[in-house]
Amino acid sequence: MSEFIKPVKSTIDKLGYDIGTNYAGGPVDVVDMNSDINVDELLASPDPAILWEMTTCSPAPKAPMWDVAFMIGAKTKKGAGYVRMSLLEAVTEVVKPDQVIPVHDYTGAVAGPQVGFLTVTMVDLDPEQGGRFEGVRLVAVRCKGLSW
Amino acid sequence: MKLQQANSYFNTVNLDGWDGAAWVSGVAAGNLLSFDRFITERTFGQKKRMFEMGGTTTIPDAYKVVRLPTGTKYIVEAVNPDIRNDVVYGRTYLLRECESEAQIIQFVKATSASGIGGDPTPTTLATVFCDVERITSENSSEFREVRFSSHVVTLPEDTVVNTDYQLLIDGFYYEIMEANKNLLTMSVRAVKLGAAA
Repeated sequence: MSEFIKPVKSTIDKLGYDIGTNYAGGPVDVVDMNSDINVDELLASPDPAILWEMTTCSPAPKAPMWDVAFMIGAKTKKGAGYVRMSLLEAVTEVVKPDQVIPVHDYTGAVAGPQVGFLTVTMVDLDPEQGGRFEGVRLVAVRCKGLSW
Repeated sequence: MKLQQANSYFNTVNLDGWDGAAWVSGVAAGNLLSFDRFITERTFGQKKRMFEMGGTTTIPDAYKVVRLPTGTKYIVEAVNPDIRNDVVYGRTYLLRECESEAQIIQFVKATSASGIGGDPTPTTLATVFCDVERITSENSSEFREVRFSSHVVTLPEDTVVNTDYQLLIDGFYYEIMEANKNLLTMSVRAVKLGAAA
C-alpha cells in the first residue's frame, strides 16, 4: 500500500512545482503545504505562489485501485483577485477532468519508473480562504488511481 | 567643551568587543553603572547595565557584543546621546547580559526529481551570543492538552533570522514565531520545541 502513496505524493509535488515554475507570467513561488519546513516565509510573503496539499490516498475498495484527493491553487497578496484567477487558470489547464497523470516516484535525484496512474474525476473551485490563508484559493481535485 | 572633559574623567572601565570571530581588546572605555531606574521593565537590575562614555567616544558599530574585564558579556541594546547646548558631551549605552549562545539553524533540502526537496537537514548558519527570557506558556491551537513555553530571545542587531529558521540554545530547539528589530537588537519570539537529538 505504502509503495503507491509516496509516488503519488511526489507526483503531486512535481505537478505543482511544474505549474509554478512554468507559469506563463514568469516563475512563481511554490509551497508544499504538507511540509511545515521553509513555508512560513513564503506564506507570509505577498509574492504570488502555487500551493498544494495531498489530502487523501486510500485503496478503493482495495489496492491496486485507489481514491486520491488533493488541493492545489494559488496565493497572491490581498486584493490581487485577477492575478489569482490567472494562476488558477494555469492550474486548471493542467488538472482537468479525464486528465491522466502518470505516477512516478520523484523522491530521488532522478525520476523512478512509472508505478501507476491517476485519472482526474472531479475539479472543483473552492471558496476563498480567510485568516492566515487570506489571498489563497484552492481547487479540490479527486482522482481514481491504479497501481501496478 | 569642559563638560566633555569632566565626563571623560570617569571613562575607567575598558570593554573588549566581539568581532564575530574573536575578542578585540580595549574597543571602548567608559563608566559602568547599575540599571535600576525603571520598575516597569521586565528585565532590569540583574541583567542590564548602563555604560556612560564621556566626550565624543563611542562603542564602534562593528561590536554588537562587548565584554567586561570580569568576563561578563553584554549585547549593546541601545544608545542615547547626552546633549547640552546642541553639543553631544557623552553617550549612555544600555547593555544586556548574554551568557547563552544560539545556533541559527536552517533546514536545507536536497532537490529531488519532483523539484521539491526531500527530508530536511538542519544546518548551522551562524553562532551568536544571546539572552533568553521565558515570558509565558501558550495553549496549542490544535491539541488542548499541549502547552508551549514562549520565550523572547535577544540577539545582536546584525543577526539574520526569519520564521523558517530555528534556534538551538543549550541543547534545545526553538521555533521562531516572530523576528523584529528592537532598538539595537534583533528580538525574536520563540517557542521551545524540545531537546536536540
